[in-house]
Amino acid sequence: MFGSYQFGKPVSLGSSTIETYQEKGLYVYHRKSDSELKKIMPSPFNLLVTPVEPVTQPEMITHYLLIRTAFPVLVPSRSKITVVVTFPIEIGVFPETEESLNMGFFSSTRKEEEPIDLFTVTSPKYTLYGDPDNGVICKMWRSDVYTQVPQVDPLSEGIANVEIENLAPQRKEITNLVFDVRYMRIFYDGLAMANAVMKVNSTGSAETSFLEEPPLVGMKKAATLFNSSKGAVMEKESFLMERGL
Amino acid sequence: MMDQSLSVFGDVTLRDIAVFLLTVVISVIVARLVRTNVRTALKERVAEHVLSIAERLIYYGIIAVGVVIALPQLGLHLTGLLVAGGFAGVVLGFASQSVVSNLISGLFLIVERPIRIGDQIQIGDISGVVEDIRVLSTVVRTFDGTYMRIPNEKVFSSNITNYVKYPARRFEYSIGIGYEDDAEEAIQVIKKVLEEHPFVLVNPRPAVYVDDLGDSSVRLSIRVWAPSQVWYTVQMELLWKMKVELEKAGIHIPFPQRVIHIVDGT
Repeated sequence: MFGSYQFGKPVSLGSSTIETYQEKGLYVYHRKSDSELKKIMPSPFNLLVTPVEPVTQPEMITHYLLIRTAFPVLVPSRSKITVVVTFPIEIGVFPETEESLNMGFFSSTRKEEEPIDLFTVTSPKYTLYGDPDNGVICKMWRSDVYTQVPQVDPLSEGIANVEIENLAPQRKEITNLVFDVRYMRIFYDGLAMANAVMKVNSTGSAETSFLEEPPLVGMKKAATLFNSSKGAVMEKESFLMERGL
Repeated sequence: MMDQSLSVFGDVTLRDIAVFLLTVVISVIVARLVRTNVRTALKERVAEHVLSIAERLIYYGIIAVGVVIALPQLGLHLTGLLVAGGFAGVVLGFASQSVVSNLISGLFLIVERPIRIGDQIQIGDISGVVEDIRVLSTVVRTFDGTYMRIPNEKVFSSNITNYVKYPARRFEYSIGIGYEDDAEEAIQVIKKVLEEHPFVLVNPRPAVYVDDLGDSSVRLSIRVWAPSQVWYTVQMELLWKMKVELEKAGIHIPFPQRVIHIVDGT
């Protein structure tokens, strides 16, 4: 499961297994799954296995995630409800250097490492949110809607608590939740979770964003592939859904 | 009386020099302001080296205009220069006609932005990836790896097809199956192949339908939307997958055939 693993200790992730070993004087990273991956590493290394922003597989072509709910969620006028939905899990494997160990996992000053490996056990699917001339390509995920944390396979599904606030004077039906995952904060502790907010405004559009707080006390912050501090100008960390809810 | 007492040389007074300097200073300030605004407006649209050239042209152009306006204050009238310059201008105008035309076209391309660096495009009969948009020309790497420099005038006046301007694009297949095969089953097999491919978009939905009852086969039309960045890869992958899955399902893609009835003419 997610967490840190010493060099040489195999990691079992459902149908996939990760092994690190020495072979003919070389240090090898080896993922055994449907699509096998082998890499030679410069030195013995520990692994950090963590959920990452779920838009990298099979190829990173977008940074938007669209969660389509199995049934529309009706949100009365000027009210707030919280629903639980699932999101796809993509797994990142990072080398854990002495430096990162000394500084603690993903502390704000930790130097972000490039992942050794990114993979998923889910079947990725993409869609267009909006029209062909002005829409955005999104990773798509279908989810049931729950009121509390459901039983899920932690290697394929994470849990997002979404607080939906309807500021419009009419009742709204929500079927699509579109997020900019560059600003996604995933936390893990056996299960990957995130807290999100959707504000439906009076014009019928909605703004979605993620919260910094972990859903449960003691959860660790997952590694991130999009380091917002790299950019000189901080953009607004939300997505405006203007092409349908 | 005052001016004569302050005369520096000839008719030029200190006041004239002050006006000249003031005009030049104002033109420098205006040039800087315009340069800053041009950079702000175009930095997202234009490559850095092109922007740098445009900035300098605008900056020094405005200062030159300021100096020309201010020169009469120093008793330097440009009437004579204009006559000589007029003749030189005609000569230079003819000589630099295509350069200016390309330059103006380049500026329009930068502002209108029908293409951007990295886009897959077709300009006239040239297809490829835009490598650079310069002031005078556009560089295209054709799909077979050839370097093409196209003058901006030609780019501007040609039909431009940008394959990746929009986030998604549609492509189409036409597959024939035998008249003895079950078209409904074939459609289901093809839909399953499309469903399993990650980049066949869920929305807009793919369409699979019987399009034509041909001479040799029942023609199925398959219309697929895919993200513009990967559409060509998706197009290449899908055709063979559909062929393999149709054959696995016992559905055949027939060769052209003709049924001949021989009438026994006794």
